[in-house]
Amino acid sequence: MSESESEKLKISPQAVTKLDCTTLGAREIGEQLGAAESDSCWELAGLSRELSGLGAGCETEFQVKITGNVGDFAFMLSRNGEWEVNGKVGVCCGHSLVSGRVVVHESAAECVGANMQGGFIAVLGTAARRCGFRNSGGDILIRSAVGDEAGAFMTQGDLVLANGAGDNLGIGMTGGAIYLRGEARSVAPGLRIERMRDADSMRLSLLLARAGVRGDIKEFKLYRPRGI
Amino acid sequence: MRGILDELVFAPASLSKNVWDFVEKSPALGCVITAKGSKRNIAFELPFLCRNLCVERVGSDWPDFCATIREMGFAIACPVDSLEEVTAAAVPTRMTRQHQGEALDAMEVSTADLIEFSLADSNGAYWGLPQEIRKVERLGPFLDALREAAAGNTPIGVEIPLGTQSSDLELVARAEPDFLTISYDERLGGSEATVSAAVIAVAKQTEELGIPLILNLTNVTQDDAFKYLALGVDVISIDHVIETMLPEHVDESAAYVTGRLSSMGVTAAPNKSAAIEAVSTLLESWRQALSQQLQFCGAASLSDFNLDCLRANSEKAQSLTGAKLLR
Repeated sequence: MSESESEKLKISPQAVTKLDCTTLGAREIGEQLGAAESDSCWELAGLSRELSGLGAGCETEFQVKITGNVGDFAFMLSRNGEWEVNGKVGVCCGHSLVSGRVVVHESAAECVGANMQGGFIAVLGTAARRCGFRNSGGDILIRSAVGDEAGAFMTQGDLVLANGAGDNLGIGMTGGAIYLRGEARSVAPGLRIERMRDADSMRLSLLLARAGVRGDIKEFKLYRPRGI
Repeated sequence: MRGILDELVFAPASLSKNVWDFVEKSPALGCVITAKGSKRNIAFELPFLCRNLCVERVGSDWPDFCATIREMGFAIACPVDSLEEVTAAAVPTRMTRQHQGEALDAMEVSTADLIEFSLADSNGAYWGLPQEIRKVERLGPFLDALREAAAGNTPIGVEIPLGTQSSDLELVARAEPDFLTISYDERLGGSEATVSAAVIAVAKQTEELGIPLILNLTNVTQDDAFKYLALGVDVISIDHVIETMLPEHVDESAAYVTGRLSSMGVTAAPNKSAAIEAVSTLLESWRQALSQQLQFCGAASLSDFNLDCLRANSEKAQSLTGAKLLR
């Protein structure tokens, strides 16, 4: 990622509250964040990967920058928040996410954005298998490589894969759209390539811009399930 | 073939206890489910749960029905939307059920008093871990995250089918749920004897593991329900008992309910709608019967109402339940 791209994702330097999480559990961090004011900025450091459910259920409209790796099921059912992770995330990051934005600078484990209902997740590193699993309304962008079965059982929402895909892309998918740059090792038989209309191009441009990723939209192919 | 429960009888209070203490004082019929890592307790005044009755099935009597459940002090499982028409003073303890294979509902999770994560899909077609979790060791972190999403003070339970392998139950227990629900799946097949034997085995195991157990059977009699409570079950679903009182089961509920009421010895004209009056009377009769059962066994509370209150009249029942032989 270029420096200008990173700059776009950085939180503005206004009154940042720093929280040392070295000795705190997810509950204690949740209590601190739950008491945060709207539009505030937070910086969390010293996280251990074992912390499950970081930021789960948070409703505050704020910005949180996290330095370090985040455990499994982070940001589950979160609403409104803007989360930026300078590290890796565990399995099912953004599970059932309702709204808000999550940006992960490194890699994501399996099932990132599983059961998402809204909001936006951008993973600037790689994502393991089944990213966007059963996504039902959120938008996901993976900048680097993804594992097999990306977009499996999606019913709504958009999945942008900016660097190819593994096997069985979109298996079991009944709705939503996959924008793919590069090639997929194999595509599920229920998927077909569609011509990108203006609305699709605009949508893709918006998602790329939202993640701060540059890209020529002409390099992308649009996949949708047959009969939709 | 009847179940093993028929081979169990309640034992009267020991003469070493002052029996009149139990007769004069009403025993405590409540139980408590605690959220892990929190001081918040969800108290049931009666060890019952109404799981499957919703506003559509109860009809216009729903607000009164909720008020009755609250008055009797037990819990109901229903979506939060269905409480819109219910006044705050009539809202009972509410459990929400979240099914595997679906997105979690933020509103439900943040407002419920208890959350049950069912390992069945919403159609009840399949049991198993959610595909996104895949490995049983991830169930613990998932429950932790769900607990966190519910502000950390709502008990989180897991629903598994009766007939689950004991090793599976141990694996689920390792995820440290605040309670376990065991539901009887019709596809398990088997006779009443098989079902009761399986429940007894599960109750024994959950008691050893120290996890409160909610039992969801589709057809349990009052006598059997009390025996299950003595065997270690903490809360029993009694929908099937209440259901028969609801208008949907009879064309002219008033006449039907009046008949049911008179069979319970109630001759006063119902002052609420007939069906709700009947439900209220029925629940009160269960409360009194349970209270009398505890008094008979010399148990001051449900926690004292245990295996010591039962006697087995066969060696088979003794070996299965651990109750003493009837002599």
